Amino acid sequence: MPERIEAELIARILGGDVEAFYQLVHPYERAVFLAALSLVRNDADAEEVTQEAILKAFKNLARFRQEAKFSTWLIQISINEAKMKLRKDRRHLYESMDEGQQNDEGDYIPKDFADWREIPSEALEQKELRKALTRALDSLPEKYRTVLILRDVQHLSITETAQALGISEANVKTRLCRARLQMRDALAPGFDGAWSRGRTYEKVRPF
Amino acid sequence: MHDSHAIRLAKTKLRDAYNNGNVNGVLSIFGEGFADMSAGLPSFYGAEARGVLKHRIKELFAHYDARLAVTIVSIRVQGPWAFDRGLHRLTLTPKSGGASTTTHTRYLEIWRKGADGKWKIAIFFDNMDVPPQMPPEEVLAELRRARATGARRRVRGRPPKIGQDAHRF
Amino acid sequence: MAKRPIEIDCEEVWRQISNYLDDEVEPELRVNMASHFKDCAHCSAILDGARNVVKLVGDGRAFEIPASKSQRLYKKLNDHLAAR
Repeated sequence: MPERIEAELIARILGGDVEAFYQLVHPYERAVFLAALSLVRNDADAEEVTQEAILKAFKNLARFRQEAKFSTWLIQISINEAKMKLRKDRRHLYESMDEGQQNDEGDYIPKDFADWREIPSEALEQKELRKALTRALDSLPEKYRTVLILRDVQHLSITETAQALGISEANVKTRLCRARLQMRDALAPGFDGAWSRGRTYEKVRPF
Repeated sequence: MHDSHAIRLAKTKLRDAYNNGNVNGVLSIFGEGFADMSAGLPSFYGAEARGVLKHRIKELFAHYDARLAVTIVSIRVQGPWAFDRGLHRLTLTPKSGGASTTTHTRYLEIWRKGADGKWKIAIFFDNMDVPPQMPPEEVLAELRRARATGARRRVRGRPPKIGQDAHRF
Repeated sequence: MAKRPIEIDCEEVWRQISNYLDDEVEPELRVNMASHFKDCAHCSAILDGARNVVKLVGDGRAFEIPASKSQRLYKKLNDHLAAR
């Protein structure tokens, strides 16, 4: 949404036009939900967090300083609400620490190097691929999953992603790289249709 | 990072020297008293190694146009020592005409940083590269078992009951 | 005269591969990486795979929210407004 229109909507909402708030939030519903989901990891909690985030945004709209974009601010609220929920449920204590293979410098080593045969976008019509993507995303450590969702699913810029998460842009880039490589590793057993046809995937490991 | 970059530059120089038939260029990458343990050849050390390498490269460039493709996989630096490993693809085309031959080798180079700050090869090993393969199934099964045990140990405490609808994302 | 590409190691390529996809690398690094991909089938495979991943997850169809769920997201807000 162009910032001019956003500013107009915000002015109208603060003037009492409640309907305009739905208009303002609508383009970012998925972003807010997915940001929450990336942290709380189940649909029911993500819905609750999103509801809370939308309500909070409405109540605090007067405090929104238009330095950042509204979407970034809204997503920040969602992420904070999700973190609060995790702390409340004490679930952060049980997050798996399986982070994949790292070398001595903490770099991520891609797991296998086989030829990648392109999965076309049309294949997204298949439920199996969407499920495989969801499973792959879920297998990522939280800090990589969140960055991937904001940057690659929601197409936020590096700057907006950094703002929403309260981390440096350099950090966003490093985490994004790892997220993308791990996604590739997680999906690898599946491409070339092997996962949808029940075939064993042929791996190659050169080094 | 500076040292790794210096080694990348040195490998680039080696590559270009091969591609330009530049004997001294090739030799300049090897340090004083280096050890040459190239595949299929006797090992040579010290001054002999330099003499033998010079002779070999001169002969090579006299009879062939060389094209060297380098793939550095990894560089590790520790003080004045470093090692890198990777792949070489050497294509030789006879100057007198005829078919090209290509050899694929994998290499390990030990580098030393001299008093002048220049990185040079102290020890060179290579051998024939073999196409990659997955380990045998028994080895993979063992690795999977070890990984599963390790992962279970790393999750602290027991996860709480989140609720029967807590299906994963 | 064009500068010859400088050799770059696979490990450095993996560190930069995401930036390369987003066109966020310096021109010199870009040239060096492109040259590496020409000779290194493994890094090319990783690049292709990562590019494909970005394309798939970035597609709107990948993680769609059904309209019913979409409406539920406003529940707390609606309750709050109704109570006012």
